[in-house]
Amino acid sequence: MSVLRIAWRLVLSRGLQHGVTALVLALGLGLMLTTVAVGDAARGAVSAMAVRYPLVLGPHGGAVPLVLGSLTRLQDLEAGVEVEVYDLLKIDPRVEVAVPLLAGHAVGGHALLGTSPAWFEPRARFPLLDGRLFTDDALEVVLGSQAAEALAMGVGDTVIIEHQHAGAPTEPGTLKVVGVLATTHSDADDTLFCPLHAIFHSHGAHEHAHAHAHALMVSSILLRPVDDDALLSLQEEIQKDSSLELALTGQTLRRIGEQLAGGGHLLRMLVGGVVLVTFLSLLMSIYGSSLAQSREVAVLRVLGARRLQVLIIISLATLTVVLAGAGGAVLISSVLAGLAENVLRTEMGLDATVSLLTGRVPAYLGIGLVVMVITGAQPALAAYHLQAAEALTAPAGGGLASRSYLRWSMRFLVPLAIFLWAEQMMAQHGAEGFSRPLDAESSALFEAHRTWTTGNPPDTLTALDGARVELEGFMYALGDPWEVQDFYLVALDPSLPRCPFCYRAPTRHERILVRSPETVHEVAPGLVRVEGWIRLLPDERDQLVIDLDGLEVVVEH
Amino acid sequence: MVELQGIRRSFTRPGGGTLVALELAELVIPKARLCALVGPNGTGKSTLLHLVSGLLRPDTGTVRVAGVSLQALPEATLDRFRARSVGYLLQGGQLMDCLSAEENVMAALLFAGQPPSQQRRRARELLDELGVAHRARHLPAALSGGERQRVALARALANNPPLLLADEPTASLDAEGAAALSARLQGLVRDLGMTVMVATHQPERLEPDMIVQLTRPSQAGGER
Repeated sequence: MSVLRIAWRLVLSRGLQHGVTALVLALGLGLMLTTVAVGDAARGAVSAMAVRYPLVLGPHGGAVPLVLGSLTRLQDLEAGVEVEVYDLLKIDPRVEVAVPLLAGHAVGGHALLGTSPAWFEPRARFPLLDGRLFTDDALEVVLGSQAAEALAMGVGDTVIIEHQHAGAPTEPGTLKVVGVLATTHSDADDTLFCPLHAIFHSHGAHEHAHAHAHALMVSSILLRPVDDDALLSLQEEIQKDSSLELALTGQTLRRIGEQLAGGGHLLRMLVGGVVLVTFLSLLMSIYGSSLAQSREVAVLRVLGARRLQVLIIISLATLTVVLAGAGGAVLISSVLAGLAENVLRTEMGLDATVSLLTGRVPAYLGIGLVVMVITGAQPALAAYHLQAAEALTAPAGGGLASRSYLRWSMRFLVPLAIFLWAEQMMAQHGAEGFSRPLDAESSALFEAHRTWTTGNPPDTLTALDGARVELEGFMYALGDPWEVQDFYLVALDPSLPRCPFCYRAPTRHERILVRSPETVHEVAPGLVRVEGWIRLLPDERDQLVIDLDGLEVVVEH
Repeated sequence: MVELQGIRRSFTRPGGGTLVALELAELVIPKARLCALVGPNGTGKSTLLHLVSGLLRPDTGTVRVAGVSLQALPEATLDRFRARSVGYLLQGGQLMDCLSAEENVMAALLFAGQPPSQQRRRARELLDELGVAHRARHLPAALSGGERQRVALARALANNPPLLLADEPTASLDAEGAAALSARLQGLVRDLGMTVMVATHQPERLEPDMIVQLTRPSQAGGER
């Protein structure tokens, strides 16, 4: 006989009770971990997109459909950008990569997308199952895995593009299959990819356009400028053409996230509710366990067991339940993460990898374990402090320990559970933005800057040169919306709906460059307040610069 | 063997207030005696046994067992004292439901520091002596009331304690079982020189050497 053996026998003697407790733990923690892992994965996927293609150029009509159609769903793309724009951008020194997108006729129910080989970057994202990518000047096609299977085609076969509309050339276009992509669990699986000019050619578009004096069109162009200066320069130049829409990928995707916040809020409430119920179930399970164990603990003390030995016995029993619960949680969240990853890829077009080993998940798992151990430690502590004589004579063998447990729960665990739940709600609420006018000082500074288009800076600005300022404004970030270092402060909330006729990116006179020595914050959708030293640089592209000391998201007025 | 002087022990009621459970001016029980503690419910019989076992400390007064003043001992020493020097036959047996009959006895040996190799041998020996060796591997739920009582007695005697405390040991036994238990307790006193204190409502079943009559303490805390 040993202390360990007694502990194990105690666990086994309440197998059902401990099993249900472990299951409740596994479900609650598993759901929480999955939520966190999916959030991290979606965020990572959006960040990757924003870095890969910070700008998306398309026909005027709204940044949201343009970014979604071009980067995630590969659908709902309507041609509206002259192909000459693409030709110019392709050779523009400010552009590192320009990828055109043009939707063609569906082939056997599968989308045909005209693009360039650069679209397949990074290659690890789109591995080839067979063959090679198409070349830009050939009548070639690469098939997504699902399309290849459905069309029963492989490398060397020929895809025939039939035309259904009046006025189309009578001869169908033909494209040679040169490659088949491996399965990516995204819209790409159901798509055929070919060079831009192959679509023009197969549709007889060159001749048609020439005959009717029309320009050839593409649906959108994904752009990666060489740097931020190039990005702003392109933005200023392109926004002069009112027929075009130039969307900042990161900011737009972040805005979509905010627009979906209503649904997300509901989801968080549900998950928060699950966590709360789990927590309370855990309390009740442990309450029952505490109640039932006090008689055994009292008997152990009568036999001469020291308090420490009792503590070890009950702790081991609790630890077994906690470890079983944590193991179950990891198992459940692994299964759910796999399902969620599939949904993110197929339903939302996000190239997301849901991992339980990266991001915030290990931290949350650690927090969950600590909470469970703290919660589970109560029966052990109660056993440690149990007055054996009282427990032997108390009704049901443990009234005193149970009352002590309930008191402890009410003082610590229930408030903790409510705090965790409320924290989730508050975090969501805090991320919501409202539009409010800026304070008088900030408004005056932005107004002074806006009117300073030529000549010497106004006195109000000159007086501020080198001074320490505290300003309100809205963040206008150029790249990854979650890894913001330098950003622009603007007076108008870029996430607000705006007039389509006068929408444009902020000019150099409407923005203040905020520089930070390190990553400061994710793009905040509401007001922010910055604090730092202001510099007046009349000859620079960015005339007003703030070297950041501090940044905070402002609680709305 | 057991000496108590000026004892007073009270408890806090769940709803508030204090309940005096035991008041005792003096009690001396010599070595190798069978002592019956009698009195109506609420007169402090169980409390007295808890005080002598060291599970409780008195509010006032002294408890000496075999010349050792219990209130002077730190808790860990008191635990060791209880494991080695006191056998406690609890009301209803109070076996651990998750352990077999044999393991219940072995647990008492474990806490007294007996090595595992001797625990099983000693447990078998005692269960055999009390006629329940054939039930050694059964859980308490599978034992009859009399068998549970004998296993509990084996557990109480596992470490050859000089002092045996028993709380209503005959309450759940029939006349035959009570007589057998009485004979065994007297044998322990006579043959092993053990001191036995029994809280009981039926002292006539035990034929004790001495009877201590307890009365309900005055809640004002008066001396008796």
